[in-house]
Amino acid sequence: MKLKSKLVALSLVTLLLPWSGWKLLQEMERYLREAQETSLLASARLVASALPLDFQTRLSFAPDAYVPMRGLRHPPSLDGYDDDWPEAGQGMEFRTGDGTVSVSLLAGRHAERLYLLFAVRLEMAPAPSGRLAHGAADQLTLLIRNPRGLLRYTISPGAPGPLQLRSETGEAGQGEGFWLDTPRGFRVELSLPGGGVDSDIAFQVAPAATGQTCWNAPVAARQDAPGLACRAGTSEDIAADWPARAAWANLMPEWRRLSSWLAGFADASSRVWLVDRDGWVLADSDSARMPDGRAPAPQTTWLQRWLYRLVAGSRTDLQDEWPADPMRLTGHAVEAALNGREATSWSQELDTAVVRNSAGVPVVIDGRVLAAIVVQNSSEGLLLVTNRALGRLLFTTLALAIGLAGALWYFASRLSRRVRRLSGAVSGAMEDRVEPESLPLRSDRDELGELARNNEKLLRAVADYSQYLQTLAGKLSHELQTPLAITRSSLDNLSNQDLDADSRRFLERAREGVDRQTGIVRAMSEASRLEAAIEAAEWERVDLSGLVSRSVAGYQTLHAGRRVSLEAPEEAMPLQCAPDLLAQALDKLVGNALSLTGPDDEVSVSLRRADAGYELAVRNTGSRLPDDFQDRLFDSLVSVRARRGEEPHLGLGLYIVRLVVAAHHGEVTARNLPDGAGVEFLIRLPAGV
Amino acid sequence: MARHIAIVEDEASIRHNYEDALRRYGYQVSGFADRDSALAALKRRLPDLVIIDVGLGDEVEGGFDLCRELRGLSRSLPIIFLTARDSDLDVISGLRLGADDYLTKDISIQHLVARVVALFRRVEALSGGTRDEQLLERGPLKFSVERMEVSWKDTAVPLTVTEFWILHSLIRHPGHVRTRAQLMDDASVLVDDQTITSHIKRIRRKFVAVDPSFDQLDTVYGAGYRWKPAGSNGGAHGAA
Repeated sequence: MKLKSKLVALSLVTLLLPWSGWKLLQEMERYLREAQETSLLASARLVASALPLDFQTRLSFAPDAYVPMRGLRHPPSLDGYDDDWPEAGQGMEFRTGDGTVSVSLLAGRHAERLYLLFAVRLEMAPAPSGRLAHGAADQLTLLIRNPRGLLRYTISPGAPGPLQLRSETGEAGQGEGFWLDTPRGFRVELSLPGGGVDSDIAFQVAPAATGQTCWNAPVAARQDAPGLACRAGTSEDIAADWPARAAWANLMPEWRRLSSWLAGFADASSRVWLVDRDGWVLADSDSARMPDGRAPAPQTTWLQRWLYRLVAGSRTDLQDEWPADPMRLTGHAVEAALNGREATSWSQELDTAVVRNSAGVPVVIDGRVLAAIVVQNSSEGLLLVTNRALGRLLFTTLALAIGLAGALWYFASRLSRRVRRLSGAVSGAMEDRVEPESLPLRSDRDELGELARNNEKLLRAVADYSQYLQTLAGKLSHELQTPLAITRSSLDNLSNQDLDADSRRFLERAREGVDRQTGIVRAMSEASRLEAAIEAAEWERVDLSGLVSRSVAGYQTLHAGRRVSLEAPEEAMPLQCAPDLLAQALDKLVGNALSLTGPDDEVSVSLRRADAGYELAVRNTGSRLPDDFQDRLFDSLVSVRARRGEEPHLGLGLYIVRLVVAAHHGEVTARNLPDGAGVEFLIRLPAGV
Repeated sequence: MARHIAIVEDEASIRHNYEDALRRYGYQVSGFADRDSALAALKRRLPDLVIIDVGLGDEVEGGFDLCRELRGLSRSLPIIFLTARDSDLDVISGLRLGADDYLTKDISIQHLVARVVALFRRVEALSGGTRDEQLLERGPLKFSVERMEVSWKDTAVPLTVTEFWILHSLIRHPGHVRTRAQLMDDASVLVDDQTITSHIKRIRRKFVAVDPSFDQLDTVYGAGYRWKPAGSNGGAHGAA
């Protein structure tokens, strides 16, 4: 793993910062929620216990069957659709026992008029058209009873559309309506006089498709929904005894005094309801408020909502938009309260960030749960506070983490670049391409600078040492020459004495040894002599091509038995050089190749123009360089010969080649040719010297 | 009367060995270990030939100084340098010091004696009567083996004994390439290729000093050297 990657991985640890902030936020959110739940429950409890006595009485004596009637802010248009009713879809449902016929009834009043919307829905396969009696049509019969009398309307239009109504009982009861056929039934929207004050209603529907007539049944026992009783036959068939058997349902207006009283417990962000045993709203603190008394829901961005759901999502249900004026409350808190338990619940609207916290407390009168107080807090305040804190915290820590990671990355790449530069320069210096004095970072004050300075010292020491080693041979040879001369001259003198055969034999052996020592000493000093020769060399501009071809011609003459070939272009290759030295280097390479191979192997010399100079290659077949040796090949006193010849060989030949080539600012390399084809020595000479 | 040879050599063993050898060959020999004693003795009586080691004791180049002083005493005194260092050769060979020849210390005694004999012969030839003179002529080159004298276009070229024999080897067969090994054999020197190269260079320089247009000594790269047959030099005499 590179230094940089390590440091970058380390910088990832800084991401723990936003993570821990996140955790803290969640904790804070939970704490705030619990506090709010507690306070909501407390206020709900307070409202429930403080409920005025007359409302308690009223609850106790509430009619068994009633239809909540709400004060409407605008009159609904008579078109059969419920979407202009504030409580759309929340009508009181009447249903038969088997559920085949259901009637949903909405009631409201506005400007002394009573508005009713019947939605009849059949959950059965339509009857075959053949069985449908000719002229049979859907019919709705409605009775309204109030202290001023009884109104009866029978509605059975020939076709859907607007209706004009007149009470069959003769009382003033002019009204209008609208009949709308729907795929599974019909809807009738009515506007009647009288405003429905202190009224009871009863109705009868006779959907033609069923061949039955149904009416709202008396409530025998408390059920989920008020019942609908049916009997086969048309409306006329059962009309005789119907009104008597009709179960009157009270049109129950909102308890406005209670609403006002409840409003005293609500504030801008909270709302209090009193709901009956079915969850129908009896009083609503908001209805006593001005229509625009509530602040619009704050607009939040998707990012904020997403972040909030990330923090609190697991404890909040998503919910469709809350109706502005619910007729009936549902949800966990309400249901629990109606079952006698206190509870709270949370919900969040999908499109806004409004989170509602509801607390339900049962209202117990004479040991029975008759109603429930529901307090709801639209916790935009809390949400916004956390959102802003969340955003700020997240942004700050993320920016910090990114900044820190960036800084670490920059530091790491700079460090790694410096280390790479130093290491490149050191390895360059080891290959003599870079002077130890020009190492980078030497003037830096940190540990790397110290490393660079120490490296410089080390490289100098190594350079001094190799310089010492290189000159050692020359110095040693000088020192050895004097004792050698003593031995040699003594032996020479001795050989002139009268010696017996044995002594003469020993003398010859001693002389042979001295000769070999002399050879060694000469070889040792050859390198230093050559360096002197290179300095004294005569430089001139010659044709390299001619020089090489004359030399190869010379080898061919000298080594008549060997194959020495030349491959060189005819063109002139002018080069400013020391021809003596170059020829000598070529001598060494060719001689080396010839001496290492057998009589059948071939030595080829090739010369060609290269990029900015010339390439002179000497190849031979039949030998191979040891793999671990190639970089030391051109050092002094290194011999790669497998077998030692008679002549002491100290491997100076290739060293001389290197010195000569270096004097020409060129380079020499050696390599094994692929497929064991032999060895190639390649000299590159820049032409611009 | 035996010829008198002085040997100035700080290494006693070498000095004694050389003294013994030369005496055996009939020379009268006196040895000196340092410059001062040598100079003092030689001032009183000049020998016929002096062999000087370049390095004398602590004086790394004491031999050179001694040579200069002796040359001040006599211009014709034959002087041979003995040297262990190759770098000295250039100093000596320029003959700025007036040495007549030089030998490396790894030379055998036989070679040493041969050089001494050759030098005496040249001195004799210069001073005395000419006997059956063997004269080689190669164009403008006149080469007297007996007198060990070389002249180019009638101007004497001052060669050392080594250089003389190398040149002799080359001009015996003009146009033929002589390898370095052959030249070494002919000149009775046991040195390496590099030294032969510098000898050739010095010979060339000496000729060029006499005649800047000299171009007879040819390098055959990879093989050796040859004396270019006359003709290209515009010589009127032609090869002999």
